[in-house]
Amino acid sequence: MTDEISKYKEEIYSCTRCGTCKYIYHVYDDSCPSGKKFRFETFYPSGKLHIARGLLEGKLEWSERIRDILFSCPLCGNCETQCQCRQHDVLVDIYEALRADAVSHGVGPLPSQKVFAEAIEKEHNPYKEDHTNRLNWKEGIESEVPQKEAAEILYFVGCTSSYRQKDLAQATVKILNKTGVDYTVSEDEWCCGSPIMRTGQLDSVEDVVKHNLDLIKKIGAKKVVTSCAGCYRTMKVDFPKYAEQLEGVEILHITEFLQQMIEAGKLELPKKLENVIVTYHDPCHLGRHSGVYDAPRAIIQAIPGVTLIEMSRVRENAWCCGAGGGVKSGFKDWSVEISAERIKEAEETGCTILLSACPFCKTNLQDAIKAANSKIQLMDIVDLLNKLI
Amino acid sequence: MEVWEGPTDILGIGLYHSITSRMNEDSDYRQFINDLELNVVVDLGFYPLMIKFKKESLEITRVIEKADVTLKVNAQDLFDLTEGKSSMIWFFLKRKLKIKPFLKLFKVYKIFSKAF
Amino acid sequence: MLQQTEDHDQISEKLGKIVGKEFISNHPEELLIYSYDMTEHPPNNPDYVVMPKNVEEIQEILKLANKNKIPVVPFVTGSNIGGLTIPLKGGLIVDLKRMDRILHVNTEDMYMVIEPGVTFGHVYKCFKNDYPHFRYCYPFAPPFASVMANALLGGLNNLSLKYGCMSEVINGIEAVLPNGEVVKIGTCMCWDDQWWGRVPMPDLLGLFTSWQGMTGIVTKIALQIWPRKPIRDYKFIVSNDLVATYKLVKKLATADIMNDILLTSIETIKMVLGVPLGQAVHLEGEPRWATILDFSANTQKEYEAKADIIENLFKELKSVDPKAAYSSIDNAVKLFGEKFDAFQKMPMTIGGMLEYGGLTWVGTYMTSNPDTVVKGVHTAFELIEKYNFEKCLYTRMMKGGHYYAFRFLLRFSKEKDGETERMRQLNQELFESLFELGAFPYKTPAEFTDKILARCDKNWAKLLKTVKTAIDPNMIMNPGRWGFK
Repeated sequence: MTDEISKYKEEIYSCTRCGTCKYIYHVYDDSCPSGKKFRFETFYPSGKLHIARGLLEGKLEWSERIRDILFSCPLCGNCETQCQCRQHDVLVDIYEALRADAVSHGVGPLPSQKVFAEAIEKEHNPYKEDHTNRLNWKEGIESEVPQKEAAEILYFVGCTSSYRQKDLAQATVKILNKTGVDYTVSEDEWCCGSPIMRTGQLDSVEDVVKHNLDLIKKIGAKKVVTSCAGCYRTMKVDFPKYAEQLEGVEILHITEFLQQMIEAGKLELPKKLENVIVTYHDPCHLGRHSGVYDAPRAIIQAIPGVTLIEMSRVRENAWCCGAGGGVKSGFKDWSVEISAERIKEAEETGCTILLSACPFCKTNLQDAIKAANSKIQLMDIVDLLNKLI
Repeated sequence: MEVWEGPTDILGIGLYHSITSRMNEDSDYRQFINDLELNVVVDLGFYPLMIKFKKESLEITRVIEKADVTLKVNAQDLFDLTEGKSSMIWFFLKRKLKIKPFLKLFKVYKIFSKAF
Repeated sequence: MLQQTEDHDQISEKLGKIVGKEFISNHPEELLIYSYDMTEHPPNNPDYVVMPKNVEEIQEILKLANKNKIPVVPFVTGSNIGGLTIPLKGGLIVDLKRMDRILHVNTEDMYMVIEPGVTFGHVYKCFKNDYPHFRYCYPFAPPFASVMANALLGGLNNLSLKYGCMSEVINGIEAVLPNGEVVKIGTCMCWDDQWWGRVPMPDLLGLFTSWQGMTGIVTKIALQIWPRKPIRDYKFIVSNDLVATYKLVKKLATADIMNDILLTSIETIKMVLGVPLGQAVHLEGEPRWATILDFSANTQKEYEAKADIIENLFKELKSVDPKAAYSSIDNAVKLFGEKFDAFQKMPMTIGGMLEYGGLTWVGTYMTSNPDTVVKGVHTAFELIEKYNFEKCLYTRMMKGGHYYAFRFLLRFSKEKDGETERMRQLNQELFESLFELGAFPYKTPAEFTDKILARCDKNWAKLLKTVKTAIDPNMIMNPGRWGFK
């Protein structure tokens, strides 16, 4: 059985439960989805730290209640932004450690989350889809999708784009083709491991990390570009925890890459939109977890005819879409509730298009739009760009 | 977890913050400080502090060793300086700011005019 | 703890029917979290945590608790730093966070009516967005603290120099008594939309202020607000001579030109800046004291006149304490970092104070007589040094100089063996010594009240008991405090 939380004992004991983590600092809008919903102290970030303390002191035993508290958190990391104390930068790590220990003590994860761990182990994706179908998203544009032994850039499609948001994969390929860069996709791509890392199911993590790193090495790629915020965060932040980093390999989110291309004049946007108001949702894994806020905005602002109106909670204060941390599978309805709040916030800007930069955000925001019968149009930035090239 | 950097005496904290925050804001200043090798004693009228510019590192200590240059100014005058009520040059001319040896004036000015 | 009887399940079911099943818990996880706070006070588990949404639900909860003689402890954020929400006799924690509305802001009579779950953060947001020409005031505390609790417990804020402790700015309340009846106190007792004061009717507010929730659950409170003056400035002074510095503080307070005057030890400044635990100490040669000054003005002329008075008084101090220095807080921020902004950007979370797991104080109100204050400082310093903690003094002149808030912000680590117990011992000694000097602890923890009751006027204690027994004959409200077992 693991004892991951002991590694964070000092940080856990640092928390006085001052409550600053519960709201956006200096703004006092809500920041914590699970705290806002369930309201008991235990569901807030400070509550989780004190649960960890209770476990360390033997005053609490692993239980289903603890499981529900821990796994209802989308791991959005808003608390890390709002906490003003020295332990602020490891809060999400602590929650993941708690989850890992919950799993090893047989208490977690939620049954629906176990399913995707098994699928990742067997088929290298959380959707229980056949691994051999990983490149089926190419259908209709096969000739446009490069598959090479070696290339400067590996386009890491990610599981959600490969199996669920295939349009996004296709749009990304079309844009990459426009830039003229030397890139390839690979049928040998496996899940980045994010779903199992976030839910404490760590048994296969080292395997998936090593496999993907070997793939990058095999292709000789100097850059890995992904259109999934989750994959981006995982490769950039988590991979180094499990394996030695590949020297000289740069991990880029598609928005970072496209910003570079636009600024270098390698991607032109000849078409124009007519007075379109858009707003942009910062995916947690791209924004808060990885610090990428400006690249997507720079792209939006480069699009002729588009005005960007920001929502009230943006950048490091952005409200989560509700899909992350296993919440989409563990708490389906509530996950959409969280997203609905984001849709409402988007509507308040008066925008016609809500943009994002993560296929998983897109899935959940789409579900919320449907549930609320909202008229707002949702697109990934790549989708929008694809219409303009 | 965030870790405290720098000294824990109040004047040392002020000096350390003044220099390092300017280094974070100004890449030229950062380069200048990172290239510096100099021991400066600063006396603000409470107790002397030694600032060791050691190429890529900065140490501020109450342990006084041999100094390359000594800077003396009282705390009130320092506050007036940093509030923009006067300038280092004017204070130097008015003997409110004393620098020894005089030849290090330019270097001292370069270090502290940006920090203050 | 409640006895495990058949009634236990019935009570659980009834509570669930009142607030909804999702807002009641007797899970060990909730019971543990609500059993302690950041202080050194020993924990004790409640039996249930319930989260009502409105007055009617609170009425039903109290009727049920009263009938079954179940202890009840009102709770919002638990950050009173007195252990006051630790349920000494178990029972129900009534967490009032869901009642978080700012109901009404009256800009003519200048008050706001709020529910218990409203925090300083909420008030700040409301005034910033909707009432920019008015202000409330803030404690030296994070934004997530209950405005109502701060007022009912007689806390101090950054306008306390002018108006006294926060219970002195209460215009009226609505409360649910232990028997479930709702009472209104103040002008609101006659008119639902009039909360402008508590005069000239017999004033019953004293049945709820500083009673620590022992007389009922307050469900609405009207608090005075004030016009925000266009010009506001903050200054600080560093000095070494306590007597001369205090003299300046007192003169400034009685000159009636300031919003706030804080006299702190240099250790407090270091703590605010984030110096690690155990290292916020006064080193030889360092300035000893820091005084923070906050004043505002309607016009530039008024501002300059006030600034002039302050500077002249500072010159008086400097003639006795030549190393003293004076500057603006903005300049201090430039020199020492943005954490110094805590003094002028309330409400603000002072990380240095809150990031070691434990925070406590013996927070007192005392005479503003300089001799007593200086004696208090020396006495307390000796004790704190004896127990090897940091001498983070934080004091404030109250109500124009009529009394003085005197306390130490004592941070400690609950992880380190023995530190909590050592802090408990320090606080006990601090209380005893300061009490002897005439300092009365506000938000009085349970372990000090026996000594106070032993010393106080016997008829006061008798009247206290009479009132409590009349209002709460079954002794369900926050039992174990002020001698009510």
